[in-house]
Amino acid sequence: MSNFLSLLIAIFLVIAASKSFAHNNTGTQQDEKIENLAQSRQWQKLLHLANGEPEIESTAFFLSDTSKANFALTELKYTIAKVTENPILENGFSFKCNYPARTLFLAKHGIIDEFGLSECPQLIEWIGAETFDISIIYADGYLGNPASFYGHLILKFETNDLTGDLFTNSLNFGATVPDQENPVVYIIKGLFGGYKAEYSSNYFYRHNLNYTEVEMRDLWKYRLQLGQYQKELLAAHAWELMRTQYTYFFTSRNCAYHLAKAIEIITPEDILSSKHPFVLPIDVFKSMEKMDNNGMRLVAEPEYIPSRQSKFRHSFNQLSSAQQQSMKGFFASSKSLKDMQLNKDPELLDVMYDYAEFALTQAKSDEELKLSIQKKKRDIQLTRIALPANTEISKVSKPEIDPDIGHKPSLIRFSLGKFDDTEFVDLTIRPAFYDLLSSGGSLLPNSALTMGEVGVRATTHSVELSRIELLKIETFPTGASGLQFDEGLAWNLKVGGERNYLDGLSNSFEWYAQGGAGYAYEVLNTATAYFTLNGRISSPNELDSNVFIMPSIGLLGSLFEQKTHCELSYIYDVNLHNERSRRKIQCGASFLQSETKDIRVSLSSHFETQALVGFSWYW
Amino acid sequence: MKKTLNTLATVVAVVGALSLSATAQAQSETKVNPWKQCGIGAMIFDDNPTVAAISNIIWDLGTTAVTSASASEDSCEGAKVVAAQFITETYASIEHDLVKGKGDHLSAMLNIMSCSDDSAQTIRTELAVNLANDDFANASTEAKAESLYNITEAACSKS
Repeated sequence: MSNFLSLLIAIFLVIAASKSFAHNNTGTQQDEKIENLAQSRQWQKLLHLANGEPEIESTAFFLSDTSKANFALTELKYTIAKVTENPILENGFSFKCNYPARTLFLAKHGIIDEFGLSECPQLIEWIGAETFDISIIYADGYLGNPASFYGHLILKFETNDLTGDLFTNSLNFGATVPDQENPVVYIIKGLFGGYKAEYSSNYFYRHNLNYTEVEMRDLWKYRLQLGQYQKELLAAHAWELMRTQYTYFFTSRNCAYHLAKAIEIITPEDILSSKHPFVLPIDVFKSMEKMDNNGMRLVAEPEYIPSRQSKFRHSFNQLSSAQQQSMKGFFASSKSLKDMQLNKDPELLDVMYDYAEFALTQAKSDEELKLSIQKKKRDIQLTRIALPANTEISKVSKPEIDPDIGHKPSLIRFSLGKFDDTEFVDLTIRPAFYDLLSSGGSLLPNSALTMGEVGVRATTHSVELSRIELLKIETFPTGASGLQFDEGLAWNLKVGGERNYLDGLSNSFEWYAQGGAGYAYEVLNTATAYFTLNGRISSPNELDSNVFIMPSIGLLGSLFEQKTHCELSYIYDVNLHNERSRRKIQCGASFLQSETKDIRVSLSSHFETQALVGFSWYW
Repeated sequence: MKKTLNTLATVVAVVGALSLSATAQAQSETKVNPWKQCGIGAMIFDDNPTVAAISNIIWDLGTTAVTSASASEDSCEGAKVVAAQFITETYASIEHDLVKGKGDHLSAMLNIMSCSDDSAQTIRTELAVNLANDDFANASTEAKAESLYNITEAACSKS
């Protein structure tokens, strides 16, 4: 009996010991799993860590001290504890619904029981539906606002709601800028982190109104091709991001950067490097366009949403020449449609209406002009509404080149050149973005937009700074109707410093500001001809000249499918008159252009002549 | 995102009006008028029909596209107010679609107000009468939007 008792005790002890071992072993495995999850790419992306530091500045977003070692692990452990407890927070949401992306992540990895977004009705309502897709909207660059030069991005939900696209929800990232901010202060604070930035969500119709009806910018919708978990995780994370705040840097920590970092929670690799000093919205699409996601491209072919101006131009170009002349005649005269016998052509009236709406947004504070356009608009409305309603909406065809096509934004170029008997090597560094010889869908056609371009020239005798282009904008738009506010005004603005190697004087460094305006015309459907009248003020040169007037004519086009540009100017020296006034010719071409490189050649002649061949690397 | 003292004051007024009227709404069963009771009338749509003016308000408000799940249809957070805001902010586009006879903004308005497409012709006919009226032509965008809202609501109730 005692033996039997001893045996029972022994068996009990063995079982107890093995259970304890199994428990400890399971605990160790769970700890290891949690440690591994804390180091996983997706968890680190959910916390927006860059080099171990969170880029989100709102401490309330985190549950633990972000400055402590092993922050990612500590935050994960706190999250697991809170998800398990699932308390109701101050804002009225349960913890799971306040942090739905973290909760989804834990459920996906088996740390907690299953979790579905349907457990959070407010989140589903915010998204718009339980079944949804996600798109990224790209708004074209806009020269009316320095912060919008390079375009903008918005995250947008896609649902099958009957109200259509306009009532879907969208997420916008932007700096918080006081109204009526001084433009110089705006640029300086934007460049050097003087503003806070945050996300806001809004019905898409509000963005559509602002971009396509006010700023006349075309939109492009890139639909993300995601699996169910990816969609839910990204939407849930977008919800979490509504409570976050950041420091805004125009060139590097902008809408493109932070939206890309949000999307990276579902991409297999980074969309953008956190070390790149310049981030442009189009970088996001250039990167995502190359990514695969479960056998499909991460982004689908983009959908085009034209601006009011693009719609008007499209419909104007569909009119016959006689209709176009009638329309111009109507807007130039004080006669009514009935007087001009234009009251029975619905197609023409529709285009006139499009134009009247466009012109009203452009008239701005000119009350007399606005009243005149309003009167015309009312005549059009009353005439058109008396005719049968349209049964179809006219669609504007998509431009040939998508925005993600074109060279990368930053440039390094090595050039070999010669002027007179001096041979030289030029190094050009340009953070962003494009010049008149660039090609691509995200570029404004026939335009240049560069910031911070620096040139260094080396000869056998010296190495010197040859130029700093702080800002250069040139635009020669075509496709204009010729109607008021749509005349195809060409203009340019250049600010910087340079050594003038072609003026026959000592190569002193002169600071300058230059501007001009004129007109551009399309020639034979393949080229753009223009003329501009320009003025330039600079620091005095060797002869104390510092004011110049420069009428120019030029031609932009393609020769054997390579972009070319020639300009003939007359540089009139206001200080020294004819003694130092002379014509100047500049021609350039771009060859073998790709996303990452091209070859440039140029020839310039003023008092001296210079030839250049350059190899460009875009990054 | 533009914020001025003036527009902030407007925002405060709008938000205040929204919350006050929502409280009042909870206490009464009367039907809501989005313009008179929900602060849309406090927005600056007076005599400037350009969408640029609207644009400033949009960013100043910084509203989200979330409507509370607990909001009743007649409260200031319900679909009626969403429709009223939409019509006010995009009035020119909806009017444009109605005059021509078709368009995305017109479809969105009909759908948010639970109207059938057949209502469009009735609304178009009513709008034609309004457009011929000089007083209507000189009215503020807000007043035109309220009129369109009422025309649409009436046309939809018949369809």
